[in-house]
Formats: sequence, structure tokens, C-alpha cells
Amino acid sequence: MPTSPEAVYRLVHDTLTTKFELPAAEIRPDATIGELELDSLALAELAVVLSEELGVEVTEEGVTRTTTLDEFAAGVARATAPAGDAAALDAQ
Amino acid sequence: MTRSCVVEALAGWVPPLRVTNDQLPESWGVTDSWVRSRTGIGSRHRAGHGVATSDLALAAAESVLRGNDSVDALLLTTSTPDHPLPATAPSLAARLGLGPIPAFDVSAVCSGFVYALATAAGWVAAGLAERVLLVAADVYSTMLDPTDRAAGIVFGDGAGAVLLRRGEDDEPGALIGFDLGSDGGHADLIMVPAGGARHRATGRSPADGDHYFRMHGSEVFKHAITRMDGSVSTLLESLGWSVDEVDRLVGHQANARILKAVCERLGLPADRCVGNLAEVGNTGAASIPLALAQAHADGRLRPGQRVVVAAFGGGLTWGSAALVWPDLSHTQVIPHL
Repeated sequence: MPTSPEAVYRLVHDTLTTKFELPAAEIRPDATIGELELDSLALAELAVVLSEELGVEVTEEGVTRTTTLDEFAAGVARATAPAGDAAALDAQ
Repeated sequence: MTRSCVVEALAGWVPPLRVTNDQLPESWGVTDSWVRSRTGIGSRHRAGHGVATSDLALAAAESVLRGNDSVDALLLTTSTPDHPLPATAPSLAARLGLGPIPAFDVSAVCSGFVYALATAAGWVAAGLAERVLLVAADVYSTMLDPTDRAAGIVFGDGAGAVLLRRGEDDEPGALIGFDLGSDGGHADLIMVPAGGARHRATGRSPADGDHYFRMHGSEVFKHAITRMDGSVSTLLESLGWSVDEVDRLVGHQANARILKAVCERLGLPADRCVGNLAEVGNTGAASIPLALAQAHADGRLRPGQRVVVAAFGGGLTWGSAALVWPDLSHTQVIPHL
């Protein structure tokens, strides 16, 4: 089931505030992985949570310290979409 | 005739050389707070020059055996055998003076202790042995790449030993359930590439570093938390235990964040997850018996508590086991801790 980038972002936001206990004020679309101090294991755990919630394999491959949450959510949304829909998401 | 396998005695042993986070190589550029926040580890023990797995195993085994203890079989679980061939267990049995008893190694990397517990339980159930000595020992320092900061921070050397005997299903200490599994499709995630037949069959010399331990940390983290959570859940379901009924979970002491995530996924309060990662790091197959021994010695494990042990390791392998904690015949305080 394709999930919109907005819905993925909300899921990421909720996971970071509840499971990772990060202050909600710090979690903005333009906040970077580095600013949030999410290291490789935190990203791995986030990927596991998102994989289970979304029912598709989510990987943190390609995510760097300068990746924003917005960019991360968009990448995850692409992983939830069939190939044609992913291209449509890319075009947005 | 009942042929349950019961834990009678337990001991742990770590070498005297303790390496704190502040004593890690300067070139790694790490601080004590950095290491603690990312791994939960404050120190680890190293065997040092000339000390091999059977030496640590011997110390743990001597601690668990009393003078007149008879043993019908010896199992040693390790990823760092003294030699690729033969197994280390017969030499350990000989050094212990146990006579010509069956003795063999069990290889399941960091899940080795749980796999070996199940093997010992099977031997007792089959009537092959009444009393089994199970020793878990690893000297990871012998296969760590000096430039591999991630592994060097985490791994320590150590050994644990349990004496198991035939007993009744309903007595404390009886191993009352197991869940075991493997997924060789991810064998590459935790591996020493050279030293075995796969590499020798190529006829090529090993590339630099191929004899060192390699681990893909993030991927291992993902598999570890899902497999340990899944294994414990399956075990509890088979026993008819709810999570609330688990008094203590002693997981493989790999990384505090793995253990925290497993507890959270199970819905187990953090104070029921006990171990000694901070003091000894990841001691491979030895980690669970070492953690059990220390938790028993300091009172975090008490007779009557429902205890689950859970492991995950290279292979990939995983497993869990359950017992009601017994009033052990003798209590061991781990030397050097």
C-alpha cells in the first residue's frame, strides 16, 4: 500500500518523539539526521520500526548526517510505492 | 523416568587485565562517555599474550566443579577454539582430569550457550548423561582487527560454566523450554572470512585482514532485536507465560541498545532486564553465563524467579530458554570483577 511522504513524516515524527524520546520541538521537516544526533544504530532501529509499521522493507541506505527528515520520509514513501507510483512521487 | 536437565551450579571467570574506555587506543578517538552512550560498555577484560580459550574455560570450569563432582559429558561452546582442529573440549576434559568422557565443541557463535544448553538437555533426555559440564568461553581479542574500532570497543574475553544434572520437570533450575533458530542467508553479517575450508578451497592466500572478525553493525542490530524479540515471544507462548510473569530476562550482552530495544519490544520493564555488559562488554558465547553468575552473586537473580535467557549471534543464530531460578548449590563471585 503506497504511503504518502506526509504520512511517512508523521510516522517518523511520532516514532522519534515516543520511542526515541526526542523533544517534539526539535523534530522539524528540515531537521537533519546529524542535528538530531541519530547515529547508525538509531537509524537501524528507526528502519525496523518503519518496516513493521508500513509493511515494506525500509533501509537507511543512502541516509547521511545531512539528510533532512523531509528527504528521509520521501525516500521511505518511494519504497512503499509500486514502480510507476514511485516515479509519480519523484515527479512531485 | 523423568529426564529433565537442571542447573546445579554456575560460575564465571574473566581475565585480570581490565581495559577501561579511557585505556582504549588513542587512535580510535573515543571518550568514556561516547562509548558508554553508544554501547553501554565501561570496560572489558583481555586475556593477554599466550592465553587461549581453553585457559579461560579451565578457570571457569574449576570454579564450578567441586572436588568430588562427577561429570558424564563436557560441552564447550566457543567461536575461538584453540585450534581449527581438533575441538577444544577434549583437551579441556583432560586438563580437568575428567577421564575419557565424551567431550565436544558446540559452534553457534554468540548463541552458543543457549544452543549448548539445549544440546545438554537432549543428552540428559536421551539418557546419554546424568551430569553435564557446559563451558562457554571466547577470546575475541585473538581475532580482532586492531584498526576495527567498532569491534574493539565492544568485545571482551571471558568464560562461564554451568553444571547440569538430571532432575525433575517441576523443580527449580529445570530447563523447561527452548526456542532456537537460524538464518544462514545472512552468514556474511558476522564472519571471519579466512581460516576455514571455504577459503582454503580457493588455494589463494588470504587477503590482508581476512583472518579478522568482521561484523556489519547496523544490519546485525536489526536482526538481533527482531530475532531475540521473536524467539522470546515464541518461547513464552509455548510455556503459557505472559510477559508480566517473566521476572528476569538475561540477554546476550552485545550492546545496551540492543537489549533496551528487545525489552521495549517485548513490553518488559527495563529493571527486569539484567546483565553485566558495563563491566565486561560482549564476551561472545560466555556472555549469558557470565551475566547469570554475576546477577546471581549480587542478588539480582533470586530463587523462584522466572528467568528467560535469550541469545543472538553469527550464523545467523538465535535462541532462548526458560527456567525457574534455583537455589544454586554454591555461589560464585566472579574473580577480577
